[in-house]
Amino acid sequence: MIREKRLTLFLGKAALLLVLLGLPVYLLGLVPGMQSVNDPRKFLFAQKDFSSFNYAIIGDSVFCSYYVDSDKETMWAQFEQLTGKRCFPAALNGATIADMTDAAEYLARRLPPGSTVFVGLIPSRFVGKGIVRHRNYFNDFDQLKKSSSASFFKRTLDDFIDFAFQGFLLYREPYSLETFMRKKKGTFDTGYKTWDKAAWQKANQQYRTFVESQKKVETYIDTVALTDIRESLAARGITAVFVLSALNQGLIREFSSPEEAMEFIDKFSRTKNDLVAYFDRSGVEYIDLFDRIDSDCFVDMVHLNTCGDAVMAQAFADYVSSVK
Amino acid sequence: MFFNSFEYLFFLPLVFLLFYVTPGRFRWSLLLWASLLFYSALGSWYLLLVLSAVAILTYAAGRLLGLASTETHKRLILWAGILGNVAILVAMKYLTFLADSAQFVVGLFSGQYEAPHLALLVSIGVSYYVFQAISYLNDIYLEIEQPEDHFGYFFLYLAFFPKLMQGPIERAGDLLPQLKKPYHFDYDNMRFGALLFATGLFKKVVIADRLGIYVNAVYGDLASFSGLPLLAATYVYAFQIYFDFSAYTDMALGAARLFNIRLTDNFNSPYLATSIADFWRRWHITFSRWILDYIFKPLQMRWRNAGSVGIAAALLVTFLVSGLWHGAGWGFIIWGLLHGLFMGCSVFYKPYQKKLHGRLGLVKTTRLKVWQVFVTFNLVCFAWIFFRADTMADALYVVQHLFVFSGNQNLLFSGFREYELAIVLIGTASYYACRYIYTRRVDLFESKVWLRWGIYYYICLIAVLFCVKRASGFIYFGF
Amino acid sequence: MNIKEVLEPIFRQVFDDEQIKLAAEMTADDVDGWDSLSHVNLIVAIESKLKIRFTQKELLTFRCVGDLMRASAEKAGLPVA
Repeated sequence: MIREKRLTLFLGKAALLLVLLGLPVYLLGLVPGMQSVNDPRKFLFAQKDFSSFNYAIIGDSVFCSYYVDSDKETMWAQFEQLTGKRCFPAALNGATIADMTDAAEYLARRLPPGSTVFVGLIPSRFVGKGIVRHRNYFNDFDQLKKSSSASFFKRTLDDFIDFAFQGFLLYREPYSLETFMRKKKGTFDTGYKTWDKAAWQKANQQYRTFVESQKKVETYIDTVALTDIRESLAARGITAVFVLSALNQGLIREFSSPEEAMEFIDKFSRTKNDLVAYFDRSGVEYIDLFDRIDSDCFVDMVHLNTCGDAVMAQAFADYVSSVK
Repeated sequence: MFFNSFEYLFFLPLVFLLFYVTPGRFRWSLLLWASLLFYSALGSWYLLLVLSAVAILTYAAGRLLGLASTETHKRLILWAGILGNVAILVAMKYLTFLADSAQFVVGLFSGQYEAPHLALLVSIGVSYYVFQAISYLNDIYLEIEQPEDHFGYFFLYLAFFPKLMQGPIERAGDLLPQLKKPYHFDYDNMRFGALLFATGLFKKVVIADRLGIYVNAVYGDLASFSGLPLLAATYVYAFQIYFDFSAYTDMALGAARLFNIRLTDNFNSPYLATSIADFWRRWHITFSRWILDYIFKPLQMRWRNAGSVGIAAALLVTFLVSGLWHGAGWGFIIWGLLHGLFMGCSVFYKPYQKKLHGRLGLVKTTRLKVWQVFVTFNLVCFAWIFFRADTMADALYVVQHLFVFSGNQNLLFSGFREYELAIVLIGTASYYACRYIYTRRVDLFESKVWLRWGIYYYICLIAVLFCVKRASGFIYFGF
Repeated sequence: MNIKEVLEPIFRQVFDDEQIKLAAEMTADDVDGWDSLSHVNLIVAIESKLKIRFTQKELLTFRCVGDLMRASAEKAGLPVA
């Protein structure tokens, strides 16, 4: 058929090139998997087995328990202390609502039926109109999809490599925040505990930037996305409970004029109330933390420290016992 | 199927192998069927109908033109052919736009009546082969070409899959003879075609798509940005669209080269242009040659007694058509008119400009050239704002806030951090380094094995490892 | 007067070059500065000098100076060479 020798030569070389490409691609494909294990904000991508979790939390960095000093102070550790139940930390740093939809879909397939997923929403980020619909974690979820549909052989190979690397430097035990965490400065240079009122100059600059950008945000509630999340979970018998987080109202009052502070807090209160009204109408369960977190429990405008996480864990625990 | 999809990477070699084993006289038929299959893989069955309609209409008009004896007859047939093609093009692209407008008018009168809602018709490729068809008819009328007797070859001329979706827009005189030439295996063409295809793919999936992440993030949430990020997005978009479209062109030329067909290159370092006129000699070359030959020159001739005003008017109309061709939206029209305006104005100020340059002693200096490139690039980037923005309101927002440096002035944000920027820069630098090596330094195919294979391997590996995984069509697809 | 003698000075004036000598095979590439803009000026100058008018089709089909000379000669009633 193919009489031309040089064509066979060409095809042979092309095949060789493909083989040479295949090897590094495969090896390198394993690295992201290994990295996820280290990053507490990406546990979702490292976890293989969800069967021991009846609860999970999705959302963005506010729900990552990032500003604590040890594993025991994380929201989910405190939750487990209070209820004896395990809650999987599936919140992702900088997750957009589209990423949260992906996370919900993924968890729906992995969690045992009858589980509950807490869906974390914070007023200032959730409600922007024209919110960036793109996914920050598109690649990661894509990888997940690919690896879950991988052949038995590939999965076995991956498990073996995981096992082999356990003693290796790069590999860490899950939840070892101490080994991973770097000194993460909060927006107001806090050192995790409370915001530093003394560092006025720098803080004010950052504060103004935040306020100016938030002023432009047109409040808008993406009910479609919320419904998507709820329904993809409900399809597998999993309950969605929305969690409305808070703004650091004390900080706002400290750094803004009274009028600006009132306007600002009102804007997000109203949105929060709209959300609550929507939830009530739709018969959806929610936990409203908007007015329940003290200023001292924040590290900046929205992120929580150990004390804030404790409030959240307690609220979740209360919810769990109320359901019984 | 898209060029940067896995299906195409299987399709192309498969078609080539089938092509190779097919006896010579049936090869055109194989290519034609493959092209039709390729086109139908987009999922819209009616596109095949449209393509066939254009082919049949134009083929018939061409034959009739050849048979017509009187000038009047010829002109009649020519215009019938052109209008038929234009009608098909308009129907495909602008029907929703027109239907919406019609609906609005009807609504004004009756209030209740609702026109049936037409889903946006997918019209990939139509703009390109309709233009080819019109050029074919024109060339016959001007007696530059003879009408093609063989319907199969003519159909293939329109449908040839490497260039079907986004051009280049080929003239009959360039492509038909090549299609008819008997095929003999050419090892260098194979290598060159494959390499060109791979570098095109690299440009698209590593560079263009990555730049697209940045641009899409900004344009998707304009209200959050002002000042530097908007400026950055404007410049980044200029590069995104260049890499995207030139990548497609490279892939088209590379794929065609496997079959020993040389298509026309569309780009020649467009952002090194020293004027808008020069820009259009370097950007989307087959398109600008088309509008030059079939719209500008005839209009310019017709209005030759109106002096500079006539020329400026011809330019304005030409670029208005250009804008419309790109899409049924005010953004495209404004973009086209901007370019028409730039070109038209230059007709008037060029003599003064020349005198000024002479008096300042700048003629033919590097300083002048750098300045001209800088100004031209900025004008082009400005026009791109209207091209890219989703709505007129968005475009105006961008224009108003380009120099308002308030709010967050960080150029990087989540989704596009230092990592992504590094990949873009390294990717671009290495791309040009490879290109430089194999176009200037050394005849790649004569050089050492390690250099050749090094380049092949590098390009393919980086493309696979660093490709942006969001599936995205090429930008010029929408036209 | 043949057509060549009439057209040469026009060419020389439009392109500002006293050295131009017309030949039938000459094309736009052979003359410095002959682009579509100066082409129009050339046509306008020829038409007004010879009091003729070319058709649209003729204008678009001129390939070389020879075509131009032939068409001009025919319309003006002058000998070609």
